[in-house]
Amino acid sequence: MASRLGATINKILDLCRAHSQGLPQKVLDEELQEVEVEIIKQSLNFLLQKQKLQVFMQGESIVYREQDTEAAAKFKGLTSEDMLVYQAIQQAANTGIWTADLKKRTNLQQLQVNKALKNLESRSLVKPVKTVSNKNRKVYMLFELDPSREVTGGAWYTEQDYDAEFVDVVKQQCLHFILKQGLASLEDVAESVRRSGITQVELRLEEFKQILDTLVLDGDIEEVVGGAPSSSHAPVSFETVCYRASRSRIPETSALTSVPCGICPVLRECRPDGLISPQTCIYFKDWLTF
Amino acid sequence: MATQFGRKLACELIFSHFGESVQKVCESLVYRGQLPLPEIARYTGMNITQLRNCLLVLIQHNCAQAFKVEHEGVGSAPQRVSTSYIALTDNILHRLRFPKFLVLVKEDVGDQAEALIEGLLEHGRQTLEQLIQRAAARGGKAVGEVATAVKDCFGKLLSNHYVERCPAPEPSLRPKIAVEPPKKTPPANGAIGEEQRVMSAAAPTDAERFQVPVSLINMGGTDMEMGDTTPIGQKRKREALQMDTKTAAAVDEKEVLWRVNYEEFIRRLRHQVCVAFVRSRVDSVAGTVLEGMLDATRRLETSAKQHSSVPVSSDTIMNSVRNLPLGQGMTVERLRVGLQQLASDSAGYVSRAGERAGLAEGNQYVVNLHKIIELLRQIEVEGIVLQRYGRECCRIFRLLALKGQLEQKQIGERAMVPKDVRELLYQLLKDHYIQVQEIAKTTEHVASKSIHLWRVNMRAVLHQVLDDMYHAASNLSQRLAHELEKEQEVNDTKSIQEHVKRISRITTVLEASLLKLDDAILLFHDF
Repeated sequence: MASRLGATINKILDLCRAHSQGLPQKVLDEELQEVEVEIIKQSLNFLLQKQKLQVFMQGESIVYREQDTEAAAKFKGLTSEDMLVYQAIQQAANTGIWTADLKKRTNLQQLQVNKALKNLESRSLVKPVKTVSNKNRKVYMLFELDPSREVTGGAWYTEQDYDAEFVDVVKQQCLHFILKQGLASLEDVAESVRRSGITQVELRLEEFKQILDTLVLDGDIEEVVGGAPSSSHAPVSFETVCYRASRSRIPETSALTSVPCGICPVLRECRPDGLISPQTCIYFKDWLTF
Repeated sequence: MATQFGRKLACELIFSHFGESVQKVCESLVYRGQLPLPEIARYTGMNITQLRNCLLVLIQHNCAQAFKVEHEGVGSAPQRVSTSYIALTDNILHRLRFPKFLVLVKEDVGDQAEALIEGLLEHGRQTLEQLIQRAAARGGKAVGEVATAVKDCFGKLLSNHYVERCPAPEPSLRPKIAVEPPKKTPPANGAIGEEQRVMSAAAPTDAERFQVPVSLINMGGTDMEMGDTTPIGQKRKREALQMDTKTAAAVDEKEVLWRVNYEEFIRRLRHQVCVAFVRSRVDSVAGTVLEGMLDATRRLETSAKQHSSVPVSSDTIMNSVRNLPLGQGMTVERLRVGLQQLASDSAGYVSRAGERAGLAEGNQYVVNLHKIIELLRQIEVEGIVLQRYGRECCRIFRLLALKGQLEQKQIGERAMVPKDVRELLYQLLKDHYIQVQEIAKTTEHVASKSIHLWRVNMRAVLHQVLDDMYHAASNLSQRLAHELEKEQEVNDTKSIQEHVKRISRITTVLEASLLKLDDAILLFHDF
């Protein structure tokens, strides 16, 4: 009995090595036709327990693969629940997975999940990461992975918080450069900011584009296609989008907003003889006190 | 398109200019639309004599118009005609801008013209004789001394369309054709449409409107447009009249009523605003070119809200520009560059007309007045959003106006306000600057599964902003009245001087703000 068990185990491992892409259940069934089902079951369980074998789902069918020895050492002593949790986390890759989703995915009790996470964490196999989209939520991902942009929020986030001050500094620098140059392309702006050394953070062109777009929306600069070449070294082709100081700034004053009613938060409730009325208005009173 | 507070402001203006009873009559007309005399009496509870006087005041000051309505006979009852009255809200609101009209005419024609227009504005409608009498009384001279000068000046005003003959006192309005406008239009719009209908029924044709009175023709004013614009029919009439010119002249002077042509003033103010904008946006040369174009085509405009000017050739523009104080040194080359600049700008101030018509049309250009006005309105709104809600909100507003519809997350990313985007959006939503549209994925409208799209409805925003402006203007004038009233109660002699100083400052601030606010109202409502 024991020898047959040993033989089956060896056979399964051989088959796994022969199918480096993974051994489908169907192939396994065909190869081990003569072996009793009970024996196959026991040997598979033994292998799984010893972390020698991994099980995957590929579409509808089950696939087996042999664990390499290094990995086997890593997972030594972990329970099957731990492994289940580990695999779920592994699948989530660098976006991470939330514990509630983890529970749903693995069909385990909260306590079991927590215990498995604790185990995995203590072995430095997984790590918790805070996400920007949900501040109070922790997501887990494999220890060796770097969190994705969705999780960290990209270059504009420091410690999971949107760094408005940093954005503002970069923005001012970009604006300053464009105003000084008169006309500048996206690449010119990026180059100048990088050279200015105001930040250690690696900013990509997309991020500069984002900054320039907001400057356009703020009415500080405007886009021009082609136009005269700037004074900078690079010749400007006619298709490049360039930026220059905007000719129509958003007005800083307006007739409506220079009277108290224009910025009054309760204008809609204001009527003669009402609780709020032009006769009793305190904003008017302040305005007309010299 | 008078808004809710526009009507309120109109009634308040009438109150401060003509008193309580006239205001009552005006109010019933403004809020209820057209009414016959008995109905007005019922709503106001006034006796007929008093009511009639109030209506006369309103009509005299061009704030109301009477018109006949034909009712079709029902059954055996014969067809009958009744007279109704309608308030002219726009004209009432023009009373706010009389100071602007006076400045404009003073700069364009001169001091005497200003005095004439002032008299007309003060009295609503007057005959030439009355105008001459007023001028004589003011200058302390005899009528005969001033008559020629006044007539001369009046001729200038007339040829510039600053004054016009009054419309028919009581035009008949044919019953509405069976085709009713679609029910979707709100009731308010229906009433306003009526106002326009009555106005156009009462309005004389252009030739009649600015027809020179007989007594002026005899003066031999050659610069008058009589010769070229009067249709043949009228020429013949004129010949017939010449048989008894003297009586005709006298009748003309005594009987024909004149009034200020608000439309022309509004048109000129509109042109001024456009020219000033282009001058600051593009450059001085472009501004001068535009001014020349508008000068050359002003007479041919058919409405104060002209969409775009009539096509004009570059030669005509050149002549017109050379007549301007700033355009005397203009060369053909600079004109060409200026036009090119105006036409190539992405704002599309000017476009070339009749390109498809080939060479026959030559180089003809039109001014896209509506585009300039729309751009100005948009800039003004953006300024208001910036002042009221700050830079981030303004950025979001501009983003949505530019991109159409976006989700909250996209807005946060593109406007670079990922944290506060929700709060900022709700601020704008609360004051109706933006709208939100729910697109439900489930029939239960589960909020977490629905998509919410945010957008700017520019038309609604413009309407809202205009209403706010009327509201603010109304508040300013109410506060001014309140302050003046309060001041009368003070009789403490010690501090009287201080009080006088204070009240004069308050008056200055409030009145100046009101005039500035009215500039914006003009832009949003009349241009």
